Amino acid sequence: MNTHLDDKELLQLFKEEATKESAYTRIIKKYQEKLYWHIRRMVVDHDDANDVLQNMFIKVWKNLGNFREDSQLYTWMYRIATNESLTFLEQQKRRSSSSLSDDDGYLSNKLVADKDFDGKKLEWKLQLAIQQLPEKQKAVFNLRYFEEMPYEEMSRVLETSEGALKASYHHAVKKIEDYILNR
Amino acid sequence: MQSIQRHMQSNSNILNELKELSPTLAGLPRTNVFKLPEGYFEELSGQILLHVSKSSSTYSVPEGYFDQLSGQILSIIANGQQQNEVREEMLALSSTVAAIGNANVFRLPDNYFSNIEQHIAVVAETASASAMVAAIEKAVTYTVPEGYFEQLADTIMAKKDTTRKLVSMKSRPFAWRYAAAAAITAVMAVSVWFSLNKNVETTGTASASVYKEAQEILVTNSFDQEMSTISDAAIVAFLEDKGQNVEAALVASLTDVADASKLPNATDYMFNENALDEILKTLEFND
Repeated sequence: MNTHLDDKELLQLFKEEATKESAYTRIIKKYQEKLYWHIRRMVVDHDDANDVLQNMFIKVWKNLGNFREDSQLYTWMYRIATNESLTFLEQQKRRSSSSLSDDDGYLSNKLVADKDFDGKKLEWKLQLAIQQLPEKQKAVFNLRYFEEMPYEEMSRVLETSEGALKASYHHAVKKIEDYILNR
Repeated sequence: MQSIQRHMQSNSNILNELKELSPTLAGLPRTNVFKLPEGYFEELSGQILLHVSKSSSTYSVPEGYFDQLSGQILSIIANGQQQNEVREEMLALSSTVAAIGNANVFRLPDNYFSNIEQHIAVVAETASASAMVAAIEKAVTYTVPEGYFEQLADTIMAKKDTTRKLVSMKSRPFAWRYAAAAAITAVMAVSVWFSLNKNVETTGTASASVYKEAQEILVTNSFDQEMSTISDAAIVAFLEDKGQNVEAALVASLTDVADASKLPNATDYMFNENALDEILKTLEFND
């Protein structure tokens, strides 16, 4: 079996009833790690990332039949993953502010509670600094800094102009630097 | 002959006309002062044909093609000679190895070169805003449970047709408090509702003062603040004492805010003791 099918070929296989499930499994395997890390950096906690990722892939399964092939599958899935993460965080925020005292520090607390957390290491300080950013700016920073996504693609994922994304990234880097130097 | 006569007659008329208009001009000799390149008319038709054939040509060559052609041919010849030399050398050393050939068996990751270019662009852009942030090592700080990615596709395939929202039971410390809140609200509300509206004498462990306090809490919407002062263990003990399904209460707390309207209200609890449990049917749990 050819293991190097491109997205177009996978979508073609997905359309055939006989190969639909195997094509979908391949799509999951092809993108699961990239999407997981994108979601994990957004929601911090593994269990939350797992929930968001699984719900996201279920959405993909239900909507892939209607996917317009003039867009890229990869971009489309990133968009769903980002929106699901943002929605999840919004829900957590509303829930915590409406019923609990733990509000602003929700993600930072989760980060500090991570069994591998080491506040002396710069890479963990960076993660703490990222949690201070507004959610959408956090998505911009993560997509650019960690995933090195071109602005053109990011513009399709976040449905924002390239100029606005560049400005947002610049401000995010400045805020992160300030946080690391002054905390 | 008639034509020559007509031509001469016409010339004579033109000269007479000119004499009338300007005798001086008519007196000047009529010689052609302009010169043509030698053989111009002999070559003219050929040049026109060449021009027509060039402009109507269906083929074209890249700009500068002929200027570079000789260099390219020489380079191909030189490479060929070099390859021949290498091949001959290898044949002399080992005909077996020479027969294997030198095809490249190594593969690069997809988009390797465009990714490198992108990597350089991101580092440069980040450094222009903050050299310090650009220099931080992008080490993987988070870890995932062992074997997670190996099993993920199968897990999703097993759940792909579910219409329920997946929620995790782990790693939500504050959820207990919220969960218990949902259940306690119900317990209190039911009791208060009975005591206030039905004027039914309350029974069990709660005293009249507790219900009075509960009424105050409900009226002033200070439930969350009150809840934050009680420990999780005390809440769980209270729920169990009241015969509440603690797990069900926790589950109820995990529903989306968007789905919060689906949560039972106080009167639902009162008339249907399984109200909270029914919410479970709309959810599916991850381990």
